[in-house]
Amino acid sequence: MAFESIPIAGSDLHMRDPQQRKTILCVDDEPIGLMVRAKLLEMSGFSVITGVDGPTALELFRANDVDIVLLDYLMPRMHGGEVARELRAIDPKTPIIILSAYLSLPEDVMRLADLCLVKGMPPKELVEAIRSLLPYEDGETG
Amino acid sequence: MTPERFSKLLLMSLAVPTLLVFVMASVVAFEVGQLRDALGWVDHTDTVIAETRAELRRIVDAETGLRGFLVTGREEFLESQRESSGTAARFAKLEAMVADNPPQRQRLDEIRGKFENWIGYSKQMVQLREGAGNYSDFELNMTGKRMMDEIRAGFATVIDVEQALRDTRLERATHIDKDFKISLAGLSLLLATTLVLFSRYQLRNLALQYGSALKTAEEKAAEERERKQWFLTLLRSVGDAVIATNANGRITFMNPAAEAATGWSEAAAKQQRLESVFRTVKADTRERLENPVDRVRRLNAVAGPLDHRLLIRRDESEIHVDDCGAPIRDDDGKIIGFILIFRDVTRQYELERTLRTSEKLALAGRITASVAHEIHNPLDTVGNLLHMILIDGGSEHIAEYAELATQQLQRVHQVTLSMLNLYRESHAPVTVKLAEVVNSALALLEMQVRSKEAQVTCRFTEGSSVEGFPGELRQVFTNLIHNALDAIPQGGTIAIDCMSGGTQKQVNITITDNGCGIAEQDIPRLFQPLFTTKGESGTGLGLWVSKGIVEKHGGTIDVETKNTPGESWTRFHVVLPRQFPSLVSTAQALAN
Repeated sequence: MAFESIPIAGSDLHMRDPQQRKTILCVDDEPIGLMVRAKLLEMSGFSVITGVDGPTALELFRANDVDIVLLDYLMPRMHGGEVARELRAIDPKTPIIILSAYLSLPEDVMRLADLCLVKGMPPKELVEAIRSLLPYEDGETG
Repeated sequence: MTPERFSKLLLMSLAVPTLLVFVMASVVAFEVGQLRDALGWVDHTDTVIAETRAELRRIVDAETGLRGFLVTGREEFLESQRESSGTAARFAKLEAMVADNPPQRQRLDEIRGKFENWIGYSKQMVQLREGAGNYSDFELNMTGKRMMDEIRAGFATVIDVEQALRDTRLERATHIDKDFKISLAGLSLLLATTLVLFSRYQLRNLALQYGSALKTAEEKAAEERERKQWFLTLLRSVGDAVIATNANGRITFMNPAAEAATGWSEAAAKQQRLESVFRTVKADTRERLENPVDRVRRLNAVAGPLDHRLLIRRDESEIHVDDCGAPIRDDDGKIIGFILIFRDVTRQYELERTLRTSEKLALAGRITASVAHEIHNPLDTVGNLLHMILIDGGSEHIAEYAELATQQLQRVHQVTLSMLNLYRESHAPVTVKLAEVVNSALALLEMQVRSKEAQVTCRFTEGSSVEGFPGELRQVFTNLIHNALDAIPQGGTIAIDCMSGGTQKQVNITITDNGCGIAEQDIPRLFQPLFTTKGESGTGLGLWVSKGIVEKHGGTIDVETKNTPGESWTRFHVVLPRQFPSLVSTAQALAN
């Protein structure tokens, strides 16, 4: 499935200069869900880098200028909490959102993340949450 | 006191008096002998005196006869002369009698000599008379008189000496008699005193011995009584119910716990048959069970807890019991009664049921988490796709989004369907395909399998199936695979093998993981309730419940493990019979 070819149109979120877009590192072991979420976030005006597991995510984080990280909790090898801990060690300031299918997560994991969200919430709320964690939005008009 | 010692004492108390009597008899015999001897001598002396006097009289008679003849010249007077012809023999006899007394013998010898001289004189005088000689010559007659006087004097001396001897001997006899009496009296006194003292000593000894033996016996009896009381109190105070019966199975004892459990008082239950007081049925099927006493009698040994029993109390209420019976034997090993020990396990049973429910709830919790994950993920994607359709209205990609969303919803449908399948439970055992059960358990655990990147291999013999409850069996395999997933390292392996030969009556299933193994000290407690090696995250009920389910299906479950670092593994081995147990018994019953 070639989501990259999907144009962004008809939204109040897609009019920004791509140079100014905030970069989101989106990590999930579920490939379809990850692709759809990445497309949605791109449609919402973000630049998205995707990774399918913890180690890949850490590599991408080091190699790119990431503004915010969106982590799935339950992943093979490293779960979201472990990835978050490593990320904090690299850069303590970058906001981290952990997404999970569970209603509750271990407390230490919740402390590591800036925000923990349950999967299945309205996409609008996710986007708003991401925005609220970003220091500012260049050219934000609303 | 031992019987030997008693005999010895008895022997001594007889022997000593006997010995004393013997000594006394000896003394008496000796004394009597002495006295007889002494009296014998007196008699002897009397005889000697009498014989001597007789002889003297004969001699005097002879002289008188001689004188008569000399005066009358008549022959008749010489009769006495002729009679004295045996004189020599009589003197010899007399001399023999006094042979022990030489002076007397000497005297008698002299008298005999003198008498023989007188005989010569007498013959001379007779001749003188017959020949008309001078037989009345004075001198001649005086000679005769002198001769006779000397003879008389001789006899008198002999008699006097004998008389004196007789007196001495009589005195001696009297003395001996007196001594005898004194010594007899003394000995008797001594004997009596000795007997009294000895008997007293012996009796006292005996009494003491007897007393101490009696005391020991009394103490022993008291001890025995105390022991009996102690055992009785012990039996009465133990928390377990105890019923004892005689060899015929009639009740002889019941403790308060047994009274409380059965609802029968001991007084009412005594002499009743055990099966009327201890009425039990199988908890699940309610079939009547063999009376524990009969079972003990049949097995001739201690019979441990049987199937889960329900005791029907006197008021027809029911309690769950665990029982155990044993024979009571006498010293020869003969059965003289039976003892039944049982316990009201109703609370335990209720608790176990609660625990089983807890485990079901915990399992439900785990499943819910799985479900949440399995459903939230596609729902999240569907939500995102719908949002994209909304904001990307009119795009040529909408159909693609919708198609994707449909696929995701299909996934949700699949998940809910398998969940429902999991919880649909039949009331009677059905044919369960083990491959399906294991696969559905794996589907449930897919998330954990993925998270652990576990290499799961399943090998099933074609058509491996058993009779049973699929939901329960799925619970067993979910638990076992879940444990294996917890144990293995990232990327570890789990091998599930299900082997069954076509004719075999059972199916063997092994679940092997290359996890860290189980510590040796944990193995005995592994299947106990509330035991967990997983800390907070484990309920400690999974294996216990699994074991219960497997046993309910008539099977067994056990574990092999190796925890050497680097080559550790654990293998759970489940054996399930192809036929469900109660169906087997029903089939057998029908066949019979």
